[in-house]
Amino acid sequence: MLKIKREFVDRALRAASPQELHELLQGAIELEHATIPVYLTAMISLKPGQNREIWRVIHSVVIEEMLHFCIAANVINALGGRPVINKPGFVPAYPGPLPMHINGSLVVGLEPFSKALVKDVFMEIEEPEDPLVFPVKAFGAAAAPPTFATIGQFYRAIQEKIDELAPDRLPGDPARQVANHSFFSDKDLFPVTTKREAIEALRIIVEQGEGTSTSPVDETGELAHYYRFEELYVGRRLVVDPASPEGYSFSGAVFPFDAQGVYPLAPNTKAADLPGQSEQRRQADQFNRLYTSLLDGLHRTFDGQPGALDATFGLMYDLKLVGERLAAMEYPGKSENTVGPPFEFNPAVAR
Amino acid sequence: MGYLDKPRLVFSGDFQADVSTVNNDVRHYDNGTFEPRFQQPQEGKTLNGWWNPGGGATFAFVDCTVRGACYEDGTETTDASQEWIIGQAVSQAAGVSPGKMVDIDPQMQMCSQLWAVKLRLGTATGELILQGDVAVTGFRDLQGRQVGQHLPNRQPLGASWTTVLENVVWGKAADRSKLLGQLRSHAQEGCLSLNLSAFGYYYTHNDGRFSMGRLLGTIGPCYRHEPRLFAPARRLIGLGAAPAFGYSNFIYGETEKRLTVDLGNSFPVTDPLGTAADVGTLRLAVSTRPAVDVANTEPVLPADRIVIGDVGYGAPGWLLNTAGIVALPVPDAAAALLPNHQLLLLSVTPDGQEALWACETAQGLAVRADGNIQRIDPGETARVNVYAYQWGKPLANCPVSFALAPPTQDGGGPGTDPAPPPAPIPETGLPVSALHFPATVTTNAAGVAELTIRGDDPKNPRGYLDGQIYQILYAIDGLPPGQQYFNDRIIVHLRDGYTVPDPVAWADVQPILTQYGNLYPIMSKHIVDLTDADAVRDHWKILLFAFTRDINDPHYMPVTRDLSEAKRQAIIRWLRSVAPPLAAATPKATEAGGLPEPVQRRMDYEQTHREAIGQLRALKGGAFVSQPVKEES
Repeated sequence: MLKIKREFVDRALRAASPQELHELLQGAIELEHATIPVYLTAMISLKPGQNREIWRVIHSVVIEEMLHFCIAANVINALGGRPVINKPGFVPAYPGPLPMHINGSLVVGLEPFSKALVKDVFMEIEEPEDPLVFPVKAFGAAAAPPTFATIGQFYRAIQEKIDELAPDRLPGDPARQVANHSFFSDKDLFPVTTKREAIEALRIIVEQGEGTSTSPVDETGELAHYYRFEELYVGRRLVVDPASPEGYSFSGAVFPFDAQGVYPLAPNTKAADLPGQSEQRRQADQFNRLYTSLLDGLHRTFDGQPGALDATFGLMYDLKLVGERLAAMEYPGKSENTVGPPFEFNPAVAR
Repeated sequence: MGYLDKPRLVFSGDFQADVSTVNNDVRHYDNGTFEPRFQQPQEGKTLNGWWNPGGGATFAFVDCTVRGACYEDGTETTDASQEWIIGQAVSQAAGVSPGKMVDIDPQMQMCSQLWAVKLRLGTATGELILQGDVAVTGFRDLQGRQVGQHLPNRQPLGASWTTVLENVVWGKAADRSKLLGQLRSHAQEGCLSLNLSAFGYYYTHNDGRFSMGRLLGTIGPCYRHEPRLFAPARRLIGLGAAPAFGYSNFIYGETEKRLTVDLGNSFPVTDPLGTAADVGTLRLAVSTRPAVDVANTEPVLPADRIVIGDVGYGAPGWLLNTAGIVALPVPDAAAALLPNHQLLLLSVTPDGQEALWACETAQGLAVRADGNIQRIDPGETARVNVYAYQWGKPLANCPVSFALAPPTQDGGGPGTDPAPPPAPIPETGLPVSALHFPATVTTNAAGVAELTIRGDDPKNPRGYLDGQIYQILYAIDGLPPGQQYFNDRIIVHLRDGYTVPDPVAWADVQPILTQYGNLYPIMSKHIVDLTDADAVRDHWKILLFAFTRDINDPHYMPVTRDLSEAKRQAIIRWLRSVAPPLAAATPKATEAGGLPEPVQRRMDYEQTHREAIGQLRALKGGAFVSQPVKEES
């Protein structure tokens, strides 16, 4: 599970004004974003037309991470803050720890799909809290505080603080709220202008991400991310099973996986590692330019131009096409590998 | 004057054009005879899908930087310590997709257009200097550039896109540039002029430059009364003796006695990267004769011309640093003649003999259509402004005559293909009766003739592909045909008539989508198989998004913009019909009592399952443990 530094939760609990939550929520959007290149790299490694069910599962999780990103950015704006997306340092170094994480905890990189990746990384990222130790509402329990906190605790701390400190009508300009319905339903992404809306919006993040403490499915009947990934790992669908003491078992339909249908991406490819006068380098540079442009578009979207979001969707498709093109290209000097998507931020493009 | 006027800046670097090539052969448009191999790359002499079947049509600026500035007073510099804009980057706008380069039709691939391209100047840290929309334009003055035996890129030709930058936005950083301060005051209606000369394009995978080429750019002032898509310039036409120099623009400023010649699109190069060929001494002069006999290949005599100056092209990197724009003061004797005598480009042998390599057009005449590429549906009218000039000045009361070019059968691949596609190549330009335009229009006081073109339903003359391509030739008295750019014609894509069915069925949209699926395998491989009804239904949302974009959006579908409005509406109507019904809107969290609906449902769920959940928790300490299953190999 994600182990974030306890200090972030403590700072949230100690906050005396909504402004102090801006910086903490900035960390949250960096965290929500940081897992996306990890998942996208795995998707890009799946050869076109092959392993499509696996692709769809990871895609469904990515879409929800993007939604969480949007929600957290909306909350920052609602509290009168300004999210910053197009700066160096927003994208973490891969391989490396995720933002807000304690030292020595999970290291994530950009790697091709494998069952080991699902088990060691994806399921670690999405693993829910132990429900016994962390009940739904209560906080700061009697036992000695653990050395780390979970992202769910972090968001719940933010919720509590908003409830405690913020006025009913939040200070941010409502015109900065992003509620694009081309790709998210209005149930999931809505303008946040009141305290209740902020709390409800953050609840969606926790619910979709970690799921419930009591069931593998959420209120809409969707499996929480952890269990979607576990299905991939186990290779079978998780289904209701009266014969199982747990009520569910991985005894449903086989989840097909063709190991030959995966490009052997060089993990954590960096554009600068590719020879300057090569097609691979030019495509990798193009990938980074598109990615940086995308982050710039997202920044503008959440910095007062909600209408800019549609254009960024187009960039996501451009990124996919170049990423898949790279994945089919042999890595110069390493014929056992192909070229991975570098996901590097290039400051010259932005702003 | 356009982009050759002052003040102006020049930039250079690379461009990428990820041309999609299945659509290079018109016969691939026939669904009935389409073969999967048409989506595969060329094999030996068998063309299949040619050299880039998986292309996505993206056009992008790559590693372009500003190299030089020319101020209002005519002084020039390439020194970054003198002028801040030098060294700054030229790229595409951030936050939006790069634009596209596409042909209007497989039977007219000689004027590829730039769509949805936004040009941006920015600093190394990403600050905005200026940004504008590149108005849609097709390339012109396609001509030979690369000379010599070595052709690693396989494409020896070059061409120019001339246009305007619209909706120009200036960043704060622009205040740091003296040049931009001057340029800004000349930007009428938020426009600037732009010229892009391209050459050295790689069809091959050599040198790591597949699908890339060199780009020389110029940004200058823009004036309302001038044409948008070409420079209102005098024209220098290359003769048989010249190694290149096919078509060049130039202007002469009489008051300041200054000649500015753009050799950026015509100067011969010895490699795809832009090394200027050593052509010896190259001289600009004005003819002393009332008319030059271009058929005469004898040396030019000193009495026949007055020298203006030699072209200094010898410095390393000259072409990339100057964009090939040569500015010379004109000595008084030449200045007396240049307003109404032809400019000459002379090659000088070591022993001083001068040969005529390029000559201004007869009597300094020029004629060109502004909006030269038109897409119309039946019943629609296009208005095209055609400009006539003499000696660089608008020519009033000049009759411009128009005629339909005879039918052709363009768009099939080279005859060396041992396995050509079996479909027949349609004829263009027929039926003649479907396109209406006058035979003559006389230019007004401003030297402009407004041509009105009306199209009727051509009734599917080409069979397996929609509509028809018409080419309208235009000419003025006194200008020999060989002195007009060969593709200076008005290209019209006239679509077939079509009535949107009600309701629209898959059978109606299937042929259109299948054709696109065949022609653009990048779609079927990476996004959605357009030939498969179920796949198209599953992806209705993204397709509806693409088909409802504005035509200037980089993701407008179809990328070639060749679909009639009626057919586009039919597809939109069908996509909307297969979308799942909208869920009832969920009430948001309210201030009044009661929980928001989503969490209320959660509470209900908890209540219902509480007993079962409690039992499970007790059994396993609350954590779910996966049942180990033998992994499928």
